[in-house]
Amino acid sequence: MSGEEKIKQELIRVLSLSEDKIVIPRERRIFVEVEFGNFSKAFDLCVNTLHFDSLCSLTGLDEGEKLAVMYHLAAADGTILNLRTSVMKSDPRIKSVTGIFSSADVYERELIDLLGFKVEGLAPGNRYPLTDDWPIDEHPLRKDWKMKPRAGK
Amino acid sequence: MKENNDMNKFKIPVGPQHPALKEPESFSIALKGEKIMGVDIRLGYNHRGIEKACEGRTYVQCVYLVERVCGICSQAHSTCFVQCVEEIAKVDLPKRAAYIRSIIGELERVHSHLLWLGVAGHEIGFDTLLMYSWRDREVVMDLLALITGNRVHYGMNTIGGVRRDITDSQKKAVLKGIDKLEERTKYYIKLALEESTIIKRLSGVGVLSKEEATKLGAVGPTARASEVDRDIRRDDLRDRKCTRHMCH
Repeated sequence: MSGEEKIKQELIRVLSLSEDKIVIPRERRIFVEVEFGNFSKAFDLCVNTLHFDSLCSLTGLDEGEKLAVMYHLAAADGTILNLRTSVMKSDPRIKSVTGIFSSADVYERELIDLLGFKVEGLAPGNRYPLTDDWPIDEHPLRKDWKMKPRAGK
Repeated sequence: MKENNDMNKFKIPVGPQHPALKEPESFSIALKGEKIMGVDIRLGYNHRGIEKACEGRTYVQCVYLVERVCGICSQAHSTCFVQCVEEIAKVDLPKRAAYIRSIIGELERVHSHLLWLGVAGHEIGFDTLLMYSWRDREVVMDLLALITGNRVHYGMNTIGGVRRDITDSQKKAVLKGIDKLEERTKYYIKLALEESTIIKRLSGVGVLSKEEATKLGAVGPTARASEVDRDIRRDDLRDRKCTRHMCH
């Protein structure tokens, strides 16, 4: 059994995931999707038990009714595990992972500015990356956001 | 310099425009004596909305936009993007195109390392190193211009291949230039390990442990300098599988 397959079986065993929630498109790449209610347990399993101990980046996605986040985690040998979870757009609250990876700070602020997430547990700080005078309720990476004509145009 | 209530604490603002920083970014550094107690960071001054700009464009148009994420590592960004599109579209890459992508990637790496070596020299007050390494960097910039027509933003990658071939005369010029830079690089390594002012200036300064580097997600030379055994060219053999020997 390959290393990726072993990780898959462990994820299925501990998180009671169905087979189709884990995709291994090629060697060293694992995609896992979990319900938000299961996210903290899944994240802890990936980081502390399966030793994906580097956070590469976060990706936010607008899926229509829902907003999704992918946590791109790396193991010591560079194998990447992409842990995906989603929340309703009407209540887009996720939990900060800055307690485990302080480098998540800027990525989570990006999720707030560009997609309108609410991140619980993120320390107060400057916004990123939009300007101080950018409207707080406009999130340009949401699919329904359209650029408005500039004043005078 | 702004003084806090505590006479021993100072806040030093750095940026958003500062001659030592390569992009606008703002740090408000709280000091107690020589110890940094905290940093307030403001980033994003150069946010250009490239992701949003890509949404309404074709995959081919996006190659050129993505390449402009950075002027120093543009090949890295466009290679990442085209690899991703190729994987989704299940497009095979011709072997020669894979070699050419790798060669541009490696030349870009050489110019990038020489650039940052010079900047590192400048930051520690060793401007001779900046002058030397940036002079040498011109050799590889000329090679990139010779092959691609551009010193930066090479425009070589496209989905499913590359946009230009490398001719025999270009190949000879590259091999000759790289021989010279290999010799210069060996000299810089010797300098870094033996020059007493560099050793005195850098020993024990800003040490990043292996654990910290891992936890903070350090990559590339920064990670390897902290003994994290990671090299994407060795570990993730995709386009570059035919050029494994180039890494070592």
